[in-house]
Amino acid sequence: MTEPEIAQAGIGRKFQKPTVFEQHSVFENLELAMVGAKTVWKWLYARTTAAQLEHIDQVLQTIGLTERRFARAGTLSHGQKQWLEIGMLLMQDPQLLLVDEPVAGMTPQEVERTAELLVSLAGRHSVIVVEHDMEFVRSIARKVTVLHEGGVLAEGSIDAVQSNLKVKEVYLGE
Amino acid sequence: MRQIGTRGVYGDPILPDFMVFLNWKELPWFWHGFESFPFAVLMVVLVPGLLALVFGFLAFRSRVSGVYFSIITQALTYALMLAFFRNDMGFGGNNGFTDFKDILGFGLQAPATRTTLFLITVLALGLTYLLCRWIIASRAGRVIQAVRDAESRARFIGYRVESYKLWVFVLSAVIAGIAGALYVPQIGIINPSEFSPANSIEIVIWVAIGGRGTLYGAVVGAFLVNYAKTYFTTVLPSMWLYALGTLFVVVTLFLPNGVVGAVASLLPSRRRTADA
Amino acid sequence: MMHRLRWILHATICATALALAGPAGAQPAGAPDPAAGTAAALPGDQRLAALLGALPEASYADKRTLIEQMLALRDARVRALLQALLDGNLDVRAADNRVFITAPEGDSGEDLRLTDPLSPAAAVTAPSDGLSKIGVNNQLRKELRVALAQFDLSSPDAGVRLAAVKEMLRAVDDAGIAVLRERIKIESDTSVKREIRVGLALADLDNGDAATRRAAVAAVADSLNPDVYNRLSAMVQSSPDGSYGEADPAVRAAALASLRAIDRSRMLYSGIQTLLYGLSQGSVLVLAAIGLAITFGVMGVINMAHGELMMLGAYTTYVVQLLMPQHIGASIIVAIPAAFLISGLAGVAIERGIVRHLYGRPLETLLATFGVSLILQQAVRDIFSANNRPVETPQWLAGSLQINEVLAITYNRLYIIVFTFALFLLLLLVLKRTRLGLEVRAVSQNRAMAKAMGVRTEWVDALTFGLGSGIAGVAGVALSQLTNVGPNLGQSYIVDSFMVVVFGGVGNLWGTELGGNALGIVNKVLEPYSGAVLAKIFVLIFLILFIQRRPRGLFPQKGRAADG
Repeated sequence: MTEPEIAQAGIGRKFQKPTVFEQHSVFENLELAMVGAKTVWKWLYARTTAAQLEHIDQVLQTIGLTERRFARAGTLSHGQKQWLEIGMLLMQDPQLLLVDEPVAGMTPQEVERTAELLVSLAGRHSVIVVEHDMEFVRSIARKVTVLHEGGVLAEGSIDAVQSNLKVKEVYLGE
Repeated sequence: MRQIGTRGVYGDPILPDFMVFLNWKELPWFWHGFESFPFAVLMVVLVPGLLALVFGFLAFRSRVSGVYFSIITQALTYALMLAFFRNDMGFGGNNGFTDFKDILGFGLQAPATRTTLFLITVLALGLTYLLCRWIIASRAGRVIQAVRDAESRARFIGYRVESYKLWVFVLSAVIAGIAGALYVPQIGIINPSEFSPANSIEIVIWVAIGGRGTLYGAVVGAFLVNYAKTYFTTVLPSMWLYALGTLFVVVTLFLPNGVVGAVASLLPSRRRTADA
Repeated sequence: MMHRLRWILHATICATALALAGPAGAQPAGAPDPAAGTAAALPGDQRLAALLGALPEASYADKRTLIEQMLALRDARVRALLQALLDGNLDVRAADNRVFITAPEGDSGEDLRLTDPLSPAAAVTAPSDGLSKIGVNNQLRKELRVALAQFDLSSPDAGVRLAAVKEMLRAVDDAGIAVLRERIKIESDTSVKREIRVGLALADLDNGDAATRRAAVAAVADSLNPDVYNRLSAMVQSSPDGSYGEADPAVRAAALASLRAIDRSRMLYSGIQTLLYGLSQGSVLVLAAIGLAITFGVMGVINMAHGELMMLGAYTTYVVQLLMPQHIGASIIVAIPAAFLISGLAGVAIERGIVRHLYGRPLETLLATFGVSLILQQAVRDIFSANNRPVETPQWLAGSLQINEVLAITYNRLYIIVFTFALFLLLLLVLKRTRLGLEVRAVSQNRAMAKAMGVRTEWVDALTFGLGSGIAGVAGVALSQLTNVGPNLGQSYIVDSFMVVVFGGVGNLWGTELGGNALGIVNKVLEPYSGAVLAKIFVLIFLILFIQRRPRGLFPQKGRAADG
């Protein structure tokens, strides 16, 4: 599957470093990410409908960037860019969100805010987060899987995993 | 108003190839077909478009980009130049074609024809400008700019980047083809040395001097450079290449946004409107 | 007039043959000695003088005897003497009955240069009157030719013997064949032996006995001599009346087999030749590209002025030759470091003045350096004129190495292959084994980190760019020996250079070396079928398609950094 096919199949992917369209406004970033056919000919004539505008507003609220909607994405802070990127994934109405280390380099406040954001998505989207900040994991996770050298080491609730001896041995040493 | 993808993204030196490629089409290739004016006009659009389509399809599909892309377009230009220098290609070899006499029965030397051609050219420029503006203002235009800034993100949110690139590439080739077709009857001569990589790069500098990122920058740059060229080549012929060379250096070092950018930064109040 | 010209020619040939023969006369090489024991028991010089004195008055039959006796002396001077007799350049002076070798002197046609055959070093000029030619008849001429060939055949120098055999084979007759048959029994040098065998076989092809012909046909199967090929082809060709050049079908079949064998080895050698030519053309490409492999491949700068830096190197060669017109041979050696310095300094200037402001923006370096290339071209036009400048080729680069009848390669091609490879190894050494190389690689991988580690990136950038540019200058010196030195020299190589670097894989010197040579060979292989220009076009199209398949070239850099 090519990247666009993966995206069209309802899987949103986000990598560690935020990549947004820096020369576009926040609004335009979300607009471009909107679900749709996304071919050249359709997009040449495309007009944003009222329903779509509402969807954008809704996502803006979810990611907390309503006030910055006309700011250029390049002027956002690191954390805001991460949220905008998550917002762009949300615009596609994905069934599954794959998120890689979203809170790396964030301030504690931003981490907290990100956790709230991810938790609020539960129910409408399945979210898989890769992260090794255990506090953050505790604040969002329902099920934790510990991977070690390509295999599953342990799986379960955060408490079960944290008290697992094998996990301790691998991550903390003897 | 923001950047057009063509040059900003691809640093596209291929345009002039098509332009020249076109000029050949204009007259004697398939002698039968080109006697018909509408057919010739159709070919002006189709031939460069198809060439760009094939070349672009191959290149974008395998994600050749940036430096690599500009180098292989140079190679294509070079190969075409060598091919057209061959006499047995049937395009006049070294000398190309000269002495274009008339178009649609009107003598090319006649002032009326020249004026008409000039007016058609101005009209074509105006229409092309409006077309490009319209494209850039559309959502597709914003996708093109998005691809320029973060190609992989555009893929991840579901855009087929290569088809956008291909589309712009073909469009620019067609526009260049029209430009070539308008150029030849007014100049009256065309030969394969127009293919030389230097000429392609010279066109890029028009855009760079005018100001990348704006459509009217390209227009301003083309006029500025060609006025300078006409002036120097008549007054101080040997100075022209020095002047052009210096322009290349100065513009890239000191005027990254070209003349238009420099003027705009002096008028901060206008900048935002241009940006929207 | 024509005759005189021929004389001069003969005289020259004669002199060189003598020089090559060296002390032939003093050391009998075991040749047959037809007249042993018949001469009077006088010391060598006097005997020769006596024989020579008898020559003008002798009858043709007596002359024959005298010649045989002279040959028996095995004296090097006899060769020149007999050659002169054969050419009609041996005269007798009526006044004192002395014999001289003559050659025309001056333009008037009246003066002759007289050389005493007994003391060839001394020569005098005298008017031609009072001298008369010593005559020879056809029978005697034939004898003389054989005698001369025989003389050369007993030379200790295998090269002279080989030349003698070839000379005899040009017009084989029974007497010559007899001499060759004698010689092959004692000949030790394999190439002379092979040549004689071919000659004998050629003679045997006319033999009435079919078995002899068949053996001869088989014997020439490994010969690349064009005469042999023509003879064999004639044998198997049918004339319109249905008869063949060779009547016996068995011999014909053998001839056909030999022809095939010859075709095979000809193909092998022409294959080797194509390979060598391809390597040399590839080396030119590598030479042009290898400096770029550093500035573009390692530093990421699209240096469009690279071609003009080569042009500077070529012009440096021209200027060096102007400065030392007496020492053209050494001028190339001087030009190499000079060109390295000049182009290198120009490169450093470009880097400090322009490129350093543009790191990380490769397409802008393209525009700026293109401007530099325009300025350099125009500067050269203003200083040296727009016409091509003549650069001389030193003696030691001219000529070609003849390996056999079908395989020859010019020395400048050989030198360019060797030179390019040496340059490549040197560069590899600099990049992999020196401190500068280490820092260059560090900067190219992570500029900020290298800086943080205390690498003076400014220095490294300037030196690296200077190195790449200097190499371009050295390439220019080599190119000055191969193409026209003019303001457009650079432009004709710039696209090729970039293609080679991209084809080989950016940042990989080995890729550039192998890629360039591969392209050169492909080009030369295609050339016979499509012509030079089309071959080049095919190569370009191949490259374009190749880059679609493998956008990172033959040997892509690995790792995450390469994805940027």
